[in-house]
Amino acid sequence: MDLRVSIASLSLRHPIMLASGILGTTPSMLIKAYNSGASAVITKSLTMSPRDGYPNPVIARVPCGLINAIGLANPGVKNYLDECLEVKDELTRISVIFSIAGFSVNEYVKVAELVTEYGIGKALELNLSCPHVEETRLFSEDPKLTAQVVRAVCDATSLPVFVKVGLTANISEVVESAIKHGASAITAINTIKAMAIDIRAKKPILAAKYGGLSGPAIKPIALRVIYDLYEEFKVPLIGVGGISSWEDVVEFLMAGATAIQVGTIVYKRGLRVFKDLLKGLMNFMHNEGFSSLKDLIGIAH
Amino acid sequence: MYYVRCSLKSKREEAKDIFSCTFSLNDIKFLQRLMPGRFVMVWLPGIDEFPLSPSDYNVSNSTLRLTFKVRGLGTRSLSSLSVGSSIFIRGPYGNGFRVSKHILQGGSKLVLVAGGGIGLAPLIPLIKDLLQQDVKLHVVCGFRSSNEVFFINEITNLLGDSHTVSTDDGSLGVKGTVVDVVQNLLNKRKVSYVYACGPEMMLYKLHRVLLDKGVPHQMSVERYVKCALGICGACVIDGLRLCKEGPVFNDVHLKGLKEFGRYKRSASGVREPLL
Ligand SMILES: Cc1cc2nc3c(=O)[nH]c(=O)nc-3n(C[C@H](O)[C@H](O)[C@H](O)COP(=O)(O)OP(=O)(O)OC[C@H]3O[C@@H](n4cnc5c(N)ncnc54)[C@H](O)[C@@H]3O)c2cc1C
Ligand SMILES: Cc1cc2nc3c(=O)[nH]c(=O)nc-3n(C[C@H](O)[C@H](O)[C@H](O)COP(=O)(O)O)c2cc1C
Ligand code: FES
Repeated sequence: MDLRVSIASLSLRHPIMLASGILGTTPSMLIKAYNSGASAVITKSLTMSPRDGYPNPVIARVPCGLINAIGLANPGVKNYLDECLEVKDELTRISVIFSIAGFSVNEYVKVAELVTEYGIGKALELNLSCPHVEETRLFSEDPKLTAQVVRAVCDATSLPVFVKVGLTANISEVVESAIKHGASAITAINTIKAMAIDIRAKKPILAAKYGGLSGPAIKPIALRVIYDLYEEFKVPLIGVGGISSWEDVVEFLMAGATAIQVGTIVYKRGLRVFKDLLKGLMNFMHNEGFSSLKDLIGIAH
Repeated sequence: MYYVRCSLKSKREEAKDIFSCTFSLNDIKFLQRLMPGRFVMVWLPGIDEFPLSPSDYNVSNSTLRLTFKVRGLGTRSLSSLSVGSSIFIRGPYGNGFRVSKHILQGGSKLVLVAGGGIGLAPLIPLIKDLLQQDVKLHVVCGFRSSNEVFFINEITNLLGDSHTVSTDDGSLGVKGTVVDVVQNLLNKRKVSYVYACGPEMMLYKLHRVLLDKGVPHQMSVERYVKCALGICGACVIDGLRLCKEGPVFNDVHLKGLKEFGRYKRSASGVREPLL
C-alpha cells in the first residue's frame, strides 16, 4: 500500500505529522515523536528572541478540547538551532519543519534566514495565525500583510514555505494572497479564540483571559475549511484541527488534505497515537480497496 | 470539574521562608488519586499557577498539606493567605514514588530516604507508606544551616531514632551534605534501595554514588511546568516529560538523561546551566 505523500520538495512516508506547539520546544522531543511514528515533526513556533509567554495558567481543559494561551513561549531561534546542532545527524535524517513567528515582516525574514543557514529543517511553516498573540494574528487577517511576509520569506530562503492560517472571515483571500506570493502549501487551521471561566474562582482560568480552542470541538470547522480550500486552490493542503481518530484522518483526506497534523489528541493518547492512526488508515484503505493514498485525497468532492 | 477549591485551615512557619498550609477540600476522589511524589497545580487566581507535591494528605478528614519554600510571587502569596481563604488545585499529576515488596526486597537490608532542604516535604507521604511495609527504614535530612531545619519533630514522631540530620555548616546535627551522610551509611550498612528529593546537584551526586555502588534508586526532579498535561513540552528532560513520565524517575531513566545534573529550562525553554 502506498502511503507516501509529497508536499513541494518534502517527501513523507505517510500523511500524519505532529502539529506545531505540541511538545516541540526541544529537539529531543521532536526525535522522540518521529520515532514514535510521526511522518514529520513541526517545531514550536520560534521567534527571534526568547519568550517566556504568558504567566500560568496557560491551559484550560474543556469537555470538547483544550484552550491554550502559551503566548508563543520559545527559547528563541538561535538557542533552538544551537541545541539542534548537538543532534544534527539524527535531525537531518528525519523531516523537521520549522514553524516561525514574528512581530514584523523583518523578524519573519531573519528567523527564516537563520533556519535556512543551519541546514536542519526541510521546510518552513509560517505561523500567521496565533489567536492569542494579537500582533501575529493580524498577519493572517490582512491579505496585504500576508503577501508582504510570504514574499519576503520566500525571497530569503531556499526551503519550501508553508503558510498556517487561522479561521477568519476572509480566509480565502488570505490563502490566495499567500499562494500568489510563493507559499507551496497551506496548513489549516490554527486554534480559535475562546475562553473558560472557573465558576468557583469567578475568574477566567487563563492568565491571558483568552486562548485558542483546539481538539474535537473544532474538527468539523477545520474539515469545512479544508473542503472549501480544496475547491478553490491547487496547492497541497495540510489539515489540522481536532483530529482524534483514524476516521477523522480519512475525512480530512477525503475533503482534500494531502497530509494532516495532530495536536490535542497527544494529550489524551500519548505519542502512540501516530501508530494507531496509521494502522486504522491502512485497515480502512485495505478494506475499501484503495492501494494508494492519492486516490483518497479529495474523493468527497 | 477541573479545579478543586481548597480552603485554608491552618498555616505555620516551619523555618525561615518555609511554610506549611493545611487545606480542607470536598473531593475524596482527588485525595484518593494522590500518591507519594505526585504533584498538584496550585492556582492563585490573578497571581500564578505552579506545581507542588503535597507533604501530607488525609482521605478520612479531607485535608491536604502543602509545604513550600518562598521563592517568588506565587509562593509568597500562598504564604500570606489568611485562614478561611481559598486556593484552587488541579491534578494530581505525574508518576510518584513506587513502593512495592518487589522493589524493596532484601530482608535485613536498609531502605534509605534522603531529603535535601525543601525536598524533604514530598518525602513525608512516602515515609508513611514505607512504614506500612515490612522494611528497615532510615531517613537522612540535610539542610544548609540550622535556621533552615524543619520537620524534625515530625520525622522523630514517625521514626524515632532512625534518622540523621545534617547541615552543610555543621550548625546542627552531623556536619556535611546529604551525599556525605549516605556515603557513610553505604560503607557501614547494606542498603537495598534509596529514595531522594532535593536540589538537582545533590541528586546528581547521589545518583553517581549509588550507580557506583549498584544501589537502585528513585529521585523526584524539578522542571518548569506549564500545562501539566503532557502536551506543551515545557517540562521535557531529554525525551521524557516530567509531568507525565516524572517527576519521579528511577535509576535506569536517570542514567540515560544527558540534561540531568547539567541543565534546567526557564519558562521560555532556554537551557540554563545548573549551579
Ligand atoms: C513536580 C514539582 C513539585 C514541586 N514541589 C514542591 C514542594 O513541595 N515545595 C516547594 O517548595 N517547591 C516545590 N516545587 C517547586 C515550586 O514549583 C517552585 O518553588 C514554585 O513554582 C516557585 O514559584 P514562585 O511563583 O514562588 O516563584 P517565581 O518567582 O515564579 O520563580 C522562582 C523559580 O521557581 C521556579 N518556578 C516558577 N514557576 C514554576 C513552575 N510553573 N514550574 C516549575 N518551577 C517553577 C523556577 O525555577 C523559577 O526560577 C516543585 C516543583 C515541581 C516541578
Ligand atoms: C498547547 C498548544 C500549543 C500550540 N502552539 C502552537 C504554535 O506555537 N504554533 C502554531 O502554529 N500552532 C500552535 N498550536 C496549534 C496547533 O498546532 C493546532 O493548529 C491546533 O491545536 C489544532 O489542532 P488539534 O486540535 O489537533 O490540537 C498549539 C496548540 C496547542 C494545544
Ligand atoms: S508541562 Fe509537561 S508537557 Fe506541558
